[in-house]
Amino acid sequence: MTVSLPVAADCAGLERFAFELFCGAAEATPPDGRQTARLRAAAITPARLEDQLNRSADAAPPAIPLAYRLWLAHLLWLEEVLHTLDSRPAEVTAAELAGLQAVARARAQFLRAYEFCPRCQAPNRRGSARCRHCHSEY
Amino acid sequence: MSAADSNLLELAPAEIAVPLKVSHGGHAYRVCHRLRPPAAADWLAYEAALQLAVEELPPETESGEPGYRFLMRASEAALDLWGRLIRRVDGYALPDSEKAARSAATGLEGHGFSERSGDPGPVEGSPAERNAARSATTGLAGQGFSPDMKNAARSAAADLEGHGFSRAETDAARSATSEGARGNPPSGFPDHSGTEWRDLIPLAHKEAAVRALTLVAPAAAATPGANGFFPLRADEVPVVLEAALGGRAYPRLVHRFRPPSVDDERAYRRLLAENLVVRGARHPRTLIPARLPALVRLYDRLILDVEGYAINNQPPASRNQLLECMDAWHKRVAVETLFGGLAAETPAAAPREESIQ
Repeated sequence: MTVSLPVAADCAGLERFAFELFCGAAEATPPDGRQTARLRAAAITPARLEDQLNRSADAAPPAIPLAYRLWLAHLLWLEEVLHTLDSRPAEVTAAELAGLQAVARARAQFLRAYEFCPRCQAPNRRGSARCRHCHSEY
Repeated sequence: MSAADSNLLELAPAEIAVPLKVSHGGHAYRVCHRLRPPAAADWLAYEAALQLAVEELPPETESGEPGYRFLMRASEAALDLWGRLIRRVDGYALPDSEKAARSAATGLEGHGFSERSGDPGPVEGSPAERNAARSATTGLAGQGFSPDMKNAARSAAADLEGHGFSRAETDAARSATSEGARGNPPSGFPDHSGTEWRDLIPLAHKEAAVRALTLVAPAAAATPGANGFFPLRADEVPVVLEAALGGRAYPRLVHRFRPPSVDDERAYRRLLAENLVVRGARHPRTLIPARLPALVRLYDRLILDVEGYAINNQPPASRNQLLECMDAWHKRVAVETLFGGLAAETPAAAPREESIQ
């Protein structure tokens, strides 16, 4: 049985997909060109390195349904605008407020799961031995 | 000078003529649908009937992007709107009752209109001639028909090339046809002479007529502006549309808006983002709700004036008159262009100018 519901009302779904969006963005950090060249020059097995680089470049985007992506895009834009401009509470609808809170929870969850490299500021999964971006050891 | 002469799009026409070139049975025909100008409520019903949805298809490769399938009930919506707006059609011939009955029974032919070949029957000539002749023989005067209806039937008989049917005229012609058929019923076939002419018009024609009403789009910015200089006017934002209606093109329809505020932009973005998600479907599906009312509200809030439109052959006298008469579909496209254009014309999106050393 199919049921249609307003995407703005599904706070649990929003939180889940916002977290997936943040993780997807962190995982898809493009490698630095200079760093890649250095890796290529020093690679013991160049074919394996190429394969690994290609796989990370073609990483599948997170499977977030279009409706959630559109509403999350609106919420992130709204969050930015609210930080920039003075606005009255009445200018944010209840659905938007609930959505902003869901995004905040997802961000907190993301920050618990990821840490930033002290050298290049790239996000890495918490507990990683080395940065996947600059390959420096923690 | 009339609006037609000055190439102004008339916002309050008595009716809209949509000429169509259609082919049927190896012949080309020119027909014309005469429609009532659509009101905002008609467009609202049309948009609601479209039931727009986007279905996401799984990517072909593991790392590929998902595909999208745009779903809408275009035929049903067009059929509904056409039924609301149609007044009369020109260039069609009502089917002969025997032919129609045979077509319905055998299912081999389509609607059986525009059949001009000599069909062996009680009356020689085209279907319209035969219908009119039957009208004459059955005598309409005693059946409560007004003189206008009889005149319409007579004029249809006199015009062998194009036949116009309005609702009243067709009722008269239909009654006349059924009267005639009663005198000589086709044996073994049901009498389909009572079929309403609206039902006989092919769906493709109805869809094309409705599509012709929605032919409005942002104009391509191919030509340089006046003097080639960018106008530094902060108090208004022009949006240029192009449209086609009634067989004529209107290449420059200018809507001047006041610059949208953050509130306006927020309202527009919220509108775009408020969708419904379908749970339990095989593929993720997004239902797009009707946006026309909110877009019309935004238009009414932001519009200053327009250029290229006329109301009773005169430019709009006041803003209120403009808001009242402007086609809701034009309002929609203008607002979408206004907000879409702001995002699309960023320096990153624009092609880079070549520098001359």
